[in-house]
Amino acid sequence: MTKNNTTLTELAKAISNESVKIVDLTNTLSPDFPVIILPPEFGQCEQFKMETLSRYDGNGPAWYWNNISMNEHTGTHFDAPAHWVTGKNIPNNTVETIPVKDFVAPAVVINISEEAKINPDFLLTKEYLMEWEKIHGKIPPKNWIALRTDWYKLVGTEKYLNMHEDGAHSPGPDKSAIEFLVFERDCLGLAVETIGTDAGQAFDFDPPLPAHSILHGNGRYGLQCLKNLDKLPTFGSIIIANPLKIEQGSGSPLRVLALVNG
Amino acid sequence: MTKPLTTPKKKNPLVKSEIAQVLPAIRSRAALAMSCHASLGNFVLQVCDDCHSSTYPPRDRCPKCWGELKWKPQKRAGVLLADTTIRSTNNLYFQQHIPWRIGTILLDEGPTAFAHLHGDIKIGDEIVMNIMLDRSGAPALFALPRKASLHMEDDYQYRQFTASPKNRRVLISDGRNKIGQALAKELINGGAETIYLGNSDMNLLFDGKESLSQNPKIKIIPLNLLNTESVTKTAKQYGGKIDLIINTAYHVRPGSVAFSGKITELQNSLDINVNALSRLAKAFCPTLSSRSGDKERPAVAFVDLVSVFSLTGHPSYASMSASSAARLSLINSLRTEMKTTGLKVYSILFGPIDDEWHQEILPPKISHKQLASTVIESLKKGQEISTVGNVAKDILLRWQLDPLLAIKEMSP
Repeated sequence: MTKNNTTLTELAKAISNESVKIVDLTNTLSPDFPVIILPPEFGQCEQFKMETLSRYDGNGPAWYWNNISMNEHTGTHFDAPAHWVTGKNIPNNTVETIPVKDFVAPAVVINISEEAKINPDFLLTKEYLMEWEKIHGKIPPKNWIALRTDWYKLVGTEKYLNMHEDGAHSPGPDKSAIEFLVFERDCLGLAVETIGTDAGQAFDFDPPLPAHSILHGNGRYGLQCLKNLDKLPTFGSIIIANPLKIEQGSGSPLRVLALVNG
Repeated sequence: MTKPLTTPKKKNPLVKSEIAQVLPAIRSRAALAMSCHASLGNFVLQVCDDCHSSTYPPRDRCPKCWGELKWKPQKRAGVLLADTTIRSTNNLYFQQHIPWRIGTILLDEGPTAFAHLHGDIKIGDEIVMNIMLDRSGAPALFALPRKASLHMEDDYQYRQFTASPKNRRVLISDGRNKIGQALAKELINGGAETIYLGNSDMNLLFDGKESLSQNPKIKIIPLNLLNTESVTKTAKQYGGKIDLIINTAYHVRPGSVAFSGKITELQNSLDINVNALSRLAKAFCPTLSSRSGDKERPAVAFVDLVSVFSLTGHPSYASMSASSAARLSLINSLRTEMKTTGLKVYSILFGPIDDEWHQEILPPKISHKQLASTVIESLKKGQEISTVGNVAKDILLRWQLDPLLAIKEMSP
């Protein structure tokens, strides 16, 4: 038996006896799940749609199946670097070309849920992260930065998108935080519970939408519309996030799981 | 004088509802032609090219000289000569509605004709003649008082030919858009009892929601027209309580076929303008059909609002007009399908609206209120096809005269 096999065998055993637990970080894909709203003159993100082809009926007596359609960025989804103009020339920037090892990676959870509860426009800054590291320790490289906001608890209410006349209001990082995470902490990507990796008002930042712009421009990824980040420890979890292998895909809905010590 | 309608009493849940009976379908091509004129609210009779006498009911040749008959607009004026009340009949439709009053009308143009009578007309009264469509879509003469009387729309016999919103429970399929909101206000003014206002996205606020939700007659309900499951669920919940459906779903984006249009916008247009109508009809029409014979609270109509460019196309709004053409085709099929059920199907053809999506089109344009008012008027008059605005009126007229020429005339 090789060493690798021993590790996997031990992992399988741990999963089986629940000393390693699996947490589902995915929202259910349904037509009711909100999608990002852009100004109306732009093309709009298509919501999840499903038409039953047959359900043990005349169209298929013994089988049930549906036709589905959606945008690549509908529901809990993955953003590839090609999603943003800054990442258009990055090598391996679409979902089918991304190295598969990036789909299984450790996560660091930054909890800003209290701040976001008080202020839906709360911004994560470099200053905040440096203070955070003083308490929790340095953020290791090649980690997903999981931004816990508890925003998933607002799904099904108007407060999730929190769209008003002046745009959406939801928490996210500012430019300084993203630059710090990408250039000084070499993160794999940003994983959030909100509709996008950027804050609701980030269209008005400089640069606009800094998370999309800086993450994807530097070959990093985004995970959006997650849930249950409050079930993960600050350090020590592993996120499994495999987008569909769509040719030239800019992203993909996916089932995101986390492994945590039980 | 017509007694004003009172709020219908609650249905006894132990009483089986009556099945809607409809009169026999039209058998002759001439009668079908008359129904086309009636659907537009026109009063026409056949006039002989040779002897110039007018005739009714519709025939293939002149009964006096075998000359060729042509449809010609007629003066509506006439006098009630005699009346009678049907109290016993083998006809299943009239069995449900007796006593039923009919009369002989002498039209100012010369001919006499049997007509259904409004309750406010007495022998010797001057009348205004209309051709109206019964529940099976067949044309019938209906005499109204020359001078509009109070609560005229509430007359029992007249109400069998119309779909006046008074005391009705109405579903507006898209209550988020401005058409739906304008319509909700007009329906309340028209005496509707309850407005169910479809909200496609309960996660997203919309302008006007606050003021609408303050009105106790308006109930905002989840109804996502892009989601078959949502439409089906809403039909199961509310289908038994809805008498009238108005489909206000409308997707419009400027764009041509080759240069500026987008496939995604065509897909969106088809989904909202066509598939949504299909979802609504599949989910609601069977339930409404089963209640169209109810004495107290019959389900009466399905109304669809569609761009007049459905007839001709529009080079700068190619996706919208293509999907509107498909929508119009679908509603025409639905109208025929519903003939045997007693549920009437109305089409409102509208011209460009004065809003942000029709900026590329020159005036004249219509307001949302104007569109909503026309819907109410059509229902009150029982007019199956109506136009809103001069552009729609003009295009329909041109299309009737020469469809191919009307299409050519849409060149920018």
